[in-house]
Amino acid sequence: MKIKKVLALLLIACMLFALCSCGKKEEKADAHLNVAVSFAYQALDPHLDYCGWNTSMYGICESLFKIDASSTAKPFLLEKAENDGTKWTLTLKDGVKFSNGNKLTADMVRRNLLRAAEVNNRFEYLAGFNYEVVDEKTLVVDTRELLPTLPSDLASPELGMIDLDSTTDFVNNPICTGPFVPVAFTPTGDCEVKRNENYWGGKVTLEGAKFFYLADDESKLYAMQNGEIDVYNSVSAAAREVYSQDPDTYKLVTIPATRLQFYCLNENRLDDSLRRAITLIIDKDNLAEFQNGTVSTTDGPFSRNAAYGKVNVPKTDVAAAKELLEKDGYKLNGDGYYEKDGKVLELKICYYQARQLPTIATALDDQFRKAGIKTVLQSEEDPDATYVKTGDFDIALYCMIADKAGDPYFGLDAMFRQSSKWAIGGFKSDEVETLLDELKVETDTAKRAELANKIVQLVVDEDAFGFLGLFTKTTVLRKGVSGYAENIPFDFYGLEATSTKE
Amino acid sequence: MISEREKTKRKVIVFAVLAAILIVISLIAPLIIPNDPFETNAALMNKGPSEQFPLGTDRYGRCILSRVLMGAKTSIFSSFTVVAVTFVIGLILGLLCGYYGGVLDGILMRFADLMLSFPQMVIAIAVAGIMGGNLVNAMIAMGITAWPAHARLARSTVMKVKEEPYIAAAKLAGCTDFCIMYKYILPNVFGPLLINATTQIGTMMIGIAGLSFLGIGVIPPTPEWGSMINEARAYLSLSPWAVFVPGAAIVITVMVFNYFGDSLRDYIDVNGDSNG
Repeated sequence: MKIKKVLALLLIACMLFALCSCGKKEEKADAHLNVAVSFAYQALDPHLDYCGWNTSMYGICESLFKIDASSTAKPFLLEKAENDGTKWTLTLKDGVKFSNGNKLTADMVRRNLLRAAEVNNRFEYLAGFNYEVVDEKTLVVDTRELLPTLPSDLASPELGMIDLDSTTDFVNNPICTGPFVPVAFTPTGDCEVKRNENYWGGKVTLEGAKFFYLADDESKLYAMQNGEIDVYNSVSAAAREVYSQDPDTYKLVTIPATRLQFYCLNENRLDDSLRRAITLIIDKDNLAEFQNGTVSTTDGPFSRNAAYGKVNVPKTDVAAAKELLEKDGYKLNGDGYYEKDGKVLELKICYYQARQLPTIATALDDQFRKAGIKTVLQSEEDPDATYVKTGDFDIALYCMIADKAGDPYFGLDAMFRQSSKWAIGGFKSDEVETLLDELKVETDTAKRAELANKIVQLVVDEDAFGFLGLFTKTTVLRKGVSGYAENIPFDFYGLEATSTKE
Repeated sequence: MISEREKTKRKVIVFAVLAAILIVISLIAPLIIPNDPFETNAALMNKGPSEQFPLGTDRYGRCILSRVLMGAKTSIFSSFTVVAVTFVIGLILGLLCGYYGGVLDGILMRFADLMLSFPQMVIAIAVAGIMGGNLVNAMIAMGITAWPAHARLARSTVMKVKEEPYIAAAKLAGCTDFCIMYKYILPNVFGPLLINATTQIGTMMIGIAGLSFLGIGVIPPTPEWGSMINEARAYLSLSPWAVFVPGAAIVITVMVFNYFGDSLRDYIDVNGDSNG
């Protein structure tokens, strides 16, 4: 019996020792971060499609410039970038090397930019530049025409640097300069990374990280609550409310960002006074209230605080809208809806199931109903393949990053050009086109802001587009986790050399 | 001592009354709702039950009780419509296949086998997904998968009945095929088929609510129980009532219609046995 008791005590002691060891291991912060991401792509090759967004987020790949917390593109792999007219002299930092130890050279930069131009049609224009490799560290890029936005273009995650000579598996294992290297990658799925022992930028704090592809907001919330993940961004309004009730466990970081919620009014189907009435009915403050602090209202596509975000928009005035409709021959019927020539005024609102657009659509439905306008809500899986392509909408809701790096050109060019996809909404203005051409080559920041404000004012005055809200970027981090680019307003940054988990 | 027949008869009456109450509620819903089910109010988002909102409000500040009551109409009548249409289609096809047999029977029944070999919900999701999300498409999607069950049952019952001597007598008396099917076969197969259809109402309700939950059923902001659960699930920990109330409505309604179908079947079985 005694032997049994001794054995039992020994066993308990062993178990306690094992438990203590476990605890110690955790205390050592097992330095592995688990992250949820909302999008997953087919490859880690940053040049393809939008794959670079995730490769950058995974801490694998880096670009020549990096956008900082103030939305300014700053040299990152570069020591400096000097501009003289159409010529840009890019000088690489000393000691920048790939994870295999090879140096990043000026010629490799040139080849990377040309490869991106070849495989990604959004960067085709890079093939039209003239490149001159001066020495191992210096590359002169002649853009042939003035391109003041080159730094922000070169900050794009799609223009990350790969060791093109040594990489054999571009899909699963590109050799890049980032603080982490891929361990396992599932196309359109999860990705695991480990520390880059040769990182040029110094010590990498974490041992590694695993990125779980979780598109569903609730899945991310539950995974966070049960401890399966430590951090993620683009936190939904509902989840934000849940986390904010438990500040001892979660840290919420909310910063102003540049993802824009906007609508396009179809000029081919809505006349001038009807478009103005719609503009007057929409109550942006009310839409923002339903989104629980995840967006801030805006007048134009850019923040009101930016020099290029100054625009005058008409205030919500339902009575004035009704007056306009009645002047236009509409009369309220027995059901409380406006009709003309026996036909009820009905608006088709198209949207997709992301970026809180369903919330906006539902709230808009009620705003229009109260103003006497019937709506039909149409949800589509892929807006670009449906209503943005066919033009079968009265009001099209959409969301995009309008301000890529502290400059208005990218967003204005994407929305208001006669060649843009939004031309389907019928907005065509030669004046706007001319101003956009001017903006493209203008180098003076104050003049750029002035041009941008003029363009947006013209669009607003024609009631062609309406700008509802700018998303704040909300990141939730488990207590003790930090450094997941939570202070940078772009969601293509994530893991960094300084990311930590206590 | 109450006889078995009397017991089942009472059950039928109880569940018929309950089902009738649900139908009446859904019909008069617009008259009894305490608030406008479409009225949003950011100041009243996710509020708990109160005097003004007896079952609380949802994430848009809308009255949940009013939406559940209005949703009853959508949920119950869409299920009724799908079951009625598929019942009629299944009955006609089953009658023709069972009575005539041959190539038509072979083709239609193999097609029905094909439909039955896939999980009903999977086909419905595929059909609704292709056709686009709205209530009519969701009903069509559910209908496409529901008719084979009625047709198979009708066919097998007709094949049994058509061998009866009275059918042969009717043929000898010079009755047309239509006359035989309408006058002598239909009354004999209608009962079992109707019971089957009654039990299908609950399944159909869950199916349509399921499609709406997945976002391929009703278009918001139309109140429907499945879509109400979908809209509220993100706020489950903050305002559980917004999920539980429509959930309870589905459970109760499905249970009532299922029990009604079961009790009706038991009643007819008991009657059949006692008559036999």
